[in-house]
Amino acid sequence: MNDLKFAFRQLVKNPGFTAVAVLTLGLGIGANTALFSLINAMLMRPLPGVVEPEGLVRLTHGSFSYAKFEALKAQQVFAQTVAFDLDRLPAEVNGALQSSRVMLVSGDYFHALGVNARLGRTITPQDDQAQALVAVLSHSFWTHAFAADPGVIGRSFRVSGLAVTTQRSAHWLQLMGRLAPGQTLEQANARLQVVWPQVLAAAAPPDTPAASDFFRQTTDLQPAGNGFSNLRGEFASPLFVLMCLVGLVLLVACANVANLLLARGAARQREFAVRLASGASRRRLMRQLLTESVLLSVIAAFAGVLFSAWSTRVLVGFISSETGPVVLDLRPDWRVLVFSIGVIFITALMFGLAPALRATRIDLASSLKERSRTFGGREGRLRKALLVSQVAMAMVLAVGAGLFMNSFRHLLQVNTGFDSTNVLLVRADAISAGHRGPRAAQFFTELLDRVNSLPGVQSAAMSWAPPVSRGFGNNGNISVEGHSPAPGEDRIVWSNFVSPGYFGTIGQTLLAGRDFTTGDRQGAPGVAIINQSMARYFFGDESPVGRKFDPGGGNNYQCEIIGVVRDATHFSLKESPQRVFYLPYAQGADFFQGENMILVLRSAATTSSTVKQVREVVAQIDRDVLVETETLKAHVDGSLAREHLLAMLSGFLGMLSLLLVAIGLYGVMAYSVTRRTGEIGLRMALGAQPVTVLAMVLREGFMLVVTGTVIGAVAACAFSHVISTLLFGITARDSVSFGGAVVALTLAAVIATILPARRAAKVEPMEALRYE
Amino acid sequence: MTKDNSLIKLESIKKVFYTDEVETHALSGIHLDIRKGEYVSIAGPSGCGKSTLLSILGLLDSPTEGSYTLNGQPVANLDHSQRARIRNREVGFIFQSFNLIGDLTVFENVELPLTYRGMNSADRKQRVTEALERVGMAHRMKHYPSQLSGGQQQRVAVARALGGKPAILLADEPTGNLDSKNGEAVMELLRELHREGATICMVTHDPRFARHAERNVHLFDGRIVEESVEGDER
Ligand SMILES: Nc1ncnc2c1ncn2[C@@H]1O[C@H](COP(=O)(O)OP(=O)(O)O)[C@@H](O)[C@H]1O
Ligand SMILES: [Mg+2]
Repeated sequence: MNDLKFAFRQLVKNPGFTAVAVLTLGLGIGANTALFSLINAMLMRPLPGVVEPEGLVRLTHGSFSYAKFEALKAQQVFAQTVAFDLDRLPAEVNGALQSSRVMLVSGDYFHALGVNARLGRTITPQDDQAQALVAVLSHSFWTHAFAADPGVIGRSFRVSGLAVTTQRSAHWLQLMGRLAPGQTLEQANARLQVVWPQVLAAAAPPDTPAASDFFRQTTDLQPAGNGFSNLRGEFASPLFVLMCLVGLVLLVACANVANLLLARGAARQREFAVRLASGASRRRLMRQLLTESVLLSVIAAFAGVLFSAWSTRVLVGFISSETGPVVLDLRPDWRVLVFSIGVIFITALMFGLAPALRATRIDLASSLKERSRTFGGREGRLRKALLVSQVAMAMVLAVGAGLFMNSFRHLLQVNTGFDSTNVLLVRADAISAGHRGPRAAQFFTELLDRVNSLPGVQSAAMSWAPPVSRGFGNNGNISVEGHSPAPGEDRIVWSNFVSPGYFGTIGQTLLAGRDFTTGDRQGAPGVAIINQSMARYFFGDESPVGRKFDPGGGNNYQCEIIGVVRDATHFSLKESPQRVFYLPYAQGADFFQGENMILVLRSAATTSSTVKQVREVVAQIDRDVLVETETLKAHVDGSLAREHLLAMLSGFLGMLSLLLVAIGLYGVMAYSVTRRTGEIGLRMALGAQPVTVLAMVLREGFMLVVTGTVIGAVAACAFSHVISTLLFGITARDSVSFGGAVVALTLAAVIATILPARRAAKVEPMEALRYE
Repeated sequence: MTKDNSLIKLESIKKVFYTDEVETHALSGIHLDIRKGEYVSIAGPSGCGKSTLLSILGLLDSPTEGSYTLNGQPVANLDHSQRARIRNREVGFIFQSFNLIGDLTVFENVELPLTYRGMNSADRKQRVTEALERVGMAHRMKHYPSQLSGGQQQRVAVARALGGKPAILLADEPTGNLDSKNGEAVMELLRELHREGATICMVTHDPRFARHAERNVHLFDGRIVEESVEGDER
């Protein structure tokens, strides 16, 4: 307790030191906790409310049909096999329809999770057979939509589009299992692989040829105890990379504080000597100093918590823009607590131990004497070693920042093949509102007509998949008349349905032939527009216009190519050019049993009033249709959330580390100049020119930075190799990033060294006599 | 003849230190001539201004008033860089606490002033070796100061002062931090250097060593109170 009181007094006594140390460490600790909380919430936290979550496993490789689910269930690989599908549907909230999360689950679902109803009952396998539709409400929906009314049991409420969803979901299910007691994931997986062919055989549609792709489908098991969202795949590796970078920043911060402590230890040398001389043991003194370090670390952690809370929210904001609102349970749990306490103590040890060891290793005889007879000595070496390692770590951070920022810059410069300025995407969910088949077509045609006549709208059109579809889309093998494919040849082509004027609206150039017209309707000859990549692949230098193909891959060549458009980014900015053909929306009516179209409209400026007008138009046609709007630019940028996150955060961390290094270098050099005032005075007395002394100090600073930079560059090479899969448009040895990092570090070094160097150049030769 | 031989001429030198509104008159009207080849000792009680006088002679500090002519050249209007050049070429300093640089070897310490002169490394090596041989420390060239005794360190400091072949050696209580045996040896070294032709101005308050000099100057309260020439005394 005495130690603690004294430690506290020491910190209060040196407010400047304390402030710099707390700020430095606070940023480091806070950033670490923030990132860890996020990783914890996203990847490590077991599902809340689930009994023995570690017993849950999921089948990977895409979605499964209901037939597969039943076939798998019959094989009894798991204690329980469940299927579910997550969707957004308009559901009744306080009388009005509101887009809500709806989950379709198989009867075993709640049983497998071990979740019981708080009110009423959960869904059971009997409900699978029953005719009546039943629903279980989540607590938050119950509170939100029914004001937590206990009388809700037995009541009915409206959910639009359920029938449609059920139909579609029959092919797009997620499968999950609960392991039998004592069964391991490996055992279950081995068993799964054995029965899988039987599952496929049982689930195959009646006339599937034996050689079909259907029987080549594979699957695998993964733990599902932490839940499974696509956030994991998307953000796991960037978050781990960031965690490493943030850890490095904390190390840099520790080195800084260690350096400050070393300087302070040197200044407190006499205090320690007196304590030792009056009988304190070295161990006792160490304890005192480490108490000071831990206290400092704890105070910094409190400052860090604020920073952490704020930055976690910023991070979640980033991730949300990618996938719609993200619900992550960010409340600190024991893992975060253990992590934070661990970080506090490790940090305290890292910055406190070396200075404490150094400070208590005192030659009593000489330090109680007034003066030493020589200048210099080798005390600065530890400080310099710390600084070199700091520079090396900052180099890694700066290179990382450079690589991610440069990748991002390349992505922003990708030629998308369309012009996203002033284009608005409108998603009207007509299907869920009950418009199907011809009625859906009618709804969208009417919507398009009305929007087209809105003032300020230059052109409007529709498309099934948006540009940069992020995985949404349809592809398959096609066959082209006159093109005899080699065995096993890749004839996969993506397809999309668009309305006349679509290409003009988004600014995708028509290179040959004509656009669709209203004449290209049901009953008229089948037509298609293909993109450059498809044209080049199938037709080389010949003109594809007038040629015919079968979109189904058979030999019914009834689709005539009427135009060629420039390649446009199809599903991601990172893709290599994809082969795509476009069919007129009006000829795809069969296809649109359960599909919504996306409205694209170009206006003079996409303003909130445009959005409002569009919403009004939709409401005029059908009040129950929910509308979401987004600018095409936001849509494209949103697809880069991961890269943006990496670029921004690594950039921030890089800057932070440069700042810390500059502070560290300044501290080391300023301290060194102060400590060596006598020596510098002597050099002056011996005839050194001021500029010579200036150069000497600059050179010393530079040697440290150069050494650190070289070591850091080697480490950065290894680092950049590891992250190379996250890069785009540059290699892991990107010279711009490495060169930029060197320039940034040099600049930081100049700024940090020039002041101490100038002070050194102003030392009077009389200083040589100061202690005479 | 005497006039031609003059190396240093101080006229009405005053030095005032201002600290916290307190004026300290460290030197008040010093007249002093030192001829080439002379060995002058300066003595006086602590605080009388001996070190201040020496630092003005060595261009470490400037007088508040008065004129200082070195080698026939007035030094009052020289800039920083010119003064550094003179310190480097004309003056050799020997300090009471040796003032060697701990990070540099004996050789490098002696070499330092020559480096500032921009001399090439072969010439430097020759000069340093000569100077270290002269003080009998050539065998310790690669040692660090901390590995030497006080007496040895002061010899190295003398070699550093000699290496540049200065017009004058200035020594501020060179034996102050040495035991009597080592002190004796350093004094003997200075005497030999003087016999070989060096001009020396040395501060000491040990009368035994003052006797080594040809001329003794006594300072009291910033003034010269007595000048005596060895031999006419007693
Ligand atoms: N830098 C300084 N600032 C203020 N006073 C000084 C300074 N240097 C010397 N003095 C004062 O000038 C007087 C002469 O000092 P000094 O020449 O060091 O004496 P000595 O070497 O004879 O002992 C003393 O009173 C001393 O306190
Ligand atoms: Mg003195």
